[in-house]
Amino acid sequence: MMHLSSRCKILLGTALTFSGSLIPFIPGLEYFAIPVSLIGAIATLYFVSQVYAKTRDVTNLCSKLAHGDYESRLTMIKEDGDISNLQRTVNEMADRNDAYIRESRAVMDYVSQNKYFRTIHEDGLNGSLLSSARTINSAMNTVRTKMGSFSSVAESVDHSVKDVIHQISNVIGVLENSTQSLAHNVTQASTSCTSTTSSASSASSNVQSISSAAEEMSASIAEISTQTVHAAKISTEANEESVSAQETMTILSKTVTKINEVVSLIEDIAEQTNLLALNATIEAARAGEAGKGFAVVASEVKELAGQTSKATIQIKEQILDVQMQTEGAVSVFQKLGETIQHISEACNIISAAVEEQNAVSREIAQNAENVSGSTIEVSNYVGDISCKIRSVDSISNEITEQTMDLTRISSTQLQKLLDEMSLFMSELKKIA
Amino acid sequence: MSTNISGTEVFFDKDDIIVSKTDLSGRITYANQTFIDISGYQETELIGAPHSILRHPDMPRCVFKLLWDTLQNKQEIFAYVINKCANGDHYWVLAHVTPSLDTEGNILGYHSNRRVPSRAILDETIIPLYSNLKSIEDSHKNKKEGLQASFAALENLLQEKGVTYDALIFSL
Repeated sequence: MMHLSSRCKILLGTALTFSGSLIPFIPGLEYFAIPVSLIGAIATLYFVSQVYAKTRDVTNLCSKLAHGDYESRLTMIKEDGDISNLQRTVNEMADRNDAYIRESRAVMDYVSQNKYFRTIHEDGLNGSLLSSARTINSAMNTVRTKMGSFSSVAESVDHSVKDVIHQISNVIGVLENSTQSLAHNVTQASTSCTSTTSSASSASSNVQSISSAAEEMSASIAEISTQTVHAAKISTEANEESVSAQETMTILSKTVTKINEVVSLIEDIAEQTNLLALNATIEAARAGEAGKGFAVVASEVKELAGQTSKATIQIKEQILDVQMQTEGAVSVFQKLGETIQHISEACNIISAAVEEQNAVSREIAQNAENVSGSTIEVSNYVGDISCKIRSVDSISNEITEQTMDLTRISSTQLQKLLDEMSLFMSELKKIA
Repeated sequence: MSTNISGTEVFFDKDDIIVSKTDLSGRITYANQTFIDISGYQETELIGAPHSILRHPDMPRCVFKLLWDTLQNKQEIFAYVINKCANGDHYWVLAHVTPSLDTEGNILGYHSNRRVPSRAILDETIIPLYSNLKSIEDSHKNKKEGLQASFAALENLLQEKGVTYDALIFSL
């Protein structure tokens, strides 16, 4: 359907009314004059009322816009013409103003949230709206740049301060560790010193015991030496006595042999005496009765010779026994002599060994004496060290206390500083 | 209303703004002359119609989700949008959508000012991005899952760049 403008419609209605007024002059059409004029007049009135209605709509919209209400627009614009142009122009005016208002409000919203990247879209804005938008955008750019540099300076200051605080904190932490470690080491050194002192004194007493033991040993050795020499002397004397005993035994043996010889002689005599007695008996028998007395004497002599012979046999047996005993004694004395010789040799070896031992024990005693002197020296030095360590310990305790003070103070102070800095930064960030 | 896509892009004047207003449900209550002219619809067809009448199939749905989520929070949003004309042609806009609030801060409706977008931004950033998001959406049979996946991809992109959506749009 073709849309005619309101003006055309009113013109058409007026023309129809006017034509109706001309119809009575046309023969044959007189009766149409009134209805045509009437229709024309009604149409004209209708179209005029429509124009009034649209004008009223425009007026209403303008009134709303004048009061800042940009939500309404004119819709259902059906025709092309002055009225519709008016309607569209009012809409366009409202749209552009609305666009400007929404854009500038949005930019300010962003600013209130500390965001500076939002600028007004200049497309679609013109005239005063455009120049105003440009002014705002230029201001926004300035603010963004300033806030950017302000922000970066503030961040940099914040970082620097935090860095410094952290560095101080770290240094204090390191110092704390160092003093703790120092105190620990001093305690350990002190303990070591104490144990060294006790070790040294224990060593000293051990060395002294060694020294006295060595001395005692030396004395014992001297005693052994004396006794050994004595033993050697005794064994020499024993040897001599044993030799002398051997000689005695030899003499005894010879004497016994001589006795044996004497006994043999007596035996011979007893035998001859027996023979003589036998002869006398025979002679007495021959002499008969005269010889009877003599025969009795001869028989007694024979008996005596027999008793002598028996006695010599007993003596011989006893001499044999003595000889056997003497030979046994000689061999025992020989063995004794050998044993004494061995003892004597052993005594000499012992004597040499004891002499050597004596030298060694004297050396031990001397060394022990020296060591004893050294341990006393060590003990003295350790005493000195101990004294110095005690002094270091008290200094390190002081340092520890001071470090703890420092840590306590710095942790509260630094935390306070950090908190203040954070507060300051958050305040700054609210601004930036 | 045609659903055919012609592939022909149409343009509007850089000094013009396409303006529309909708009610709370997204139905058009006002369309300015530029809108009527470029969309090819009659004003009577537009008034009362849902704004989705202009929806072009190349448009990823996650962008509209972001748009409506943002508006529900009573915040403005800028979005590059490809719109479909009545005859199947299309036109690109940089839409600035704002909720209209009463003096008590209640949402009365929505207002959209659409301007001519930068061709370079469209070609270099927006068209490849939308194509990617759209293919993510299309890769899911379930429409809801597709929307979730493409929305997640958009959020990931912002997270990677470490910017908010509005800051990203203004940085383009």
